Amino acid sequence: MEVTDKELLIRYRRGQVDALEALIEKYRRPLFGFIINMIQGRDEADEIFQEVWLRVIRKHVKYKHGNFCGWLVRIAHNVIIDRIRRRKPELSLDEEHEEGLSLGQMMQSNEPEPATRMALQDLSVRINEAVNVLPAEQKEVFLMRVQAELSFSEIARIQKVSINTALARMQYALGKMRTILSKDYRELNEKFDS
Amino acid sequence: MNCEKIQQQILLNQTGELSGQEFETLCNHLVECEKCRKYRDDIEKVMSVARTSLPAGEPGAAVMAGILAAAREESNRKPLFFTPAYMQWAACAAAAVFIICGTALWSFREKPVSAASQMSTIAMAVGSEEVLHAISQSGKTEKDQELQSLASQLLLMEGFIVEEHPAEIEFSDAVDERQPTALQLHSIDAFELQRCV
Ligand SMILES: [Zn+2]
Repeated sequence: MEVTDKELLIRYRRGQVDALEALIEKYRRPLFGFIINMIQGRDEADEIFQEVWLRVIRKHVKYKHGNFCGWLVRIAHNVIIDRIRRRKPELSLDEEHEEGLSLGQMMQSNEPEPATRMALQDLSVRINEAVNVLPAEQKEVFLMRVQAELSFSEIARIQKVSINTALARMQYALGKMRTILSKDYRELNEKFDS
Repeated sequence: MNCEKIQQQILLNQTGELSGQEFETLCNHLVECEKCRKYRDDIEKVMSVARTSLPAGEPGAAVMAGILAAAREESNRKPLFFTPAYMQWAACAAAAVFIICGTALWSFREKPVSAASQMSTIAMAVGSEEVLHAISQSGKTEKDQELQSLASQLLLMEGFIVEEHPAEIEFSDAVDERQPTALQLHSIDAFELQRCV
């Protein structure tokens, strides 16, 4: 029988570090995938990944139940916001959550350089580019959904918005990606039909 | 149902967040609507390709080692329950729970809601200067007398003179705390109140 995340955490609370190691391994890909696509910088992604787990280690008593991956992504979201705020302290979190703007403003610097764009060639690179030019809130919803496989109610809770807003952000993201990738649909269809 | 709503439901269906009824509506719509079928197929492709195409990567070995070292250090510490800070916190929490429960039990020992609500109603009456009379000839209890006396004190504190006539406040259970109603304050003979300042 599979050991649940909760059981692994209880084991860690009792001193079994290998139980935590199992959790880190289990969520390494979705969590790191989410972070690296949000941040676009290998070193910073490493730091954020480490910070997330250090917060888990310090605050693991706060985890009660629910999707453990969702809890990790929520911590990652907070770590990323904290870092961006440190860089641009004039932007407030409230604005971000109420206006739905400031996270986007904060992350505008992550758009790829023109030189990088020139180098984009194959489909997967174009998808990567399409994701990276999305406004940050939409990009985050898309990554939470695709990379971390969170439900919309979890995404809404993390972003502190209604489920309808989370859905609308995903729809916008998908809509833009459909447009950007419309030329590639033939290729996509071939890929899927084969 | 319109196509935009259906497209949201396509997304919710992927995460298992649809009710049975909604799922049925979605299925029925998809059978009839080619546009939404295309939307579903397109987004499934986009998401599937994105899942495999977006950078995944791995945290560096030093990162993993650092996390595990911190985990070991944390678990080697004294258990949280025996730290002085925790004990202090626990003592405060226990005292707070004791006080809250004690207060609650004391105030709710009989007719709890009615008494508290009536006092707030009276206070509002004082504030409004409109409803200054609450009277009835019947249903007086010992508790009501206490409350009436409290109400008189309250009114006096607010600058009113209270002249008691042989009538009292009737206390009803159906209290709207926001606004005194005819049910709560009904009659104008018991108190004659005047501004004394
Ligand atoms: Zn439709």
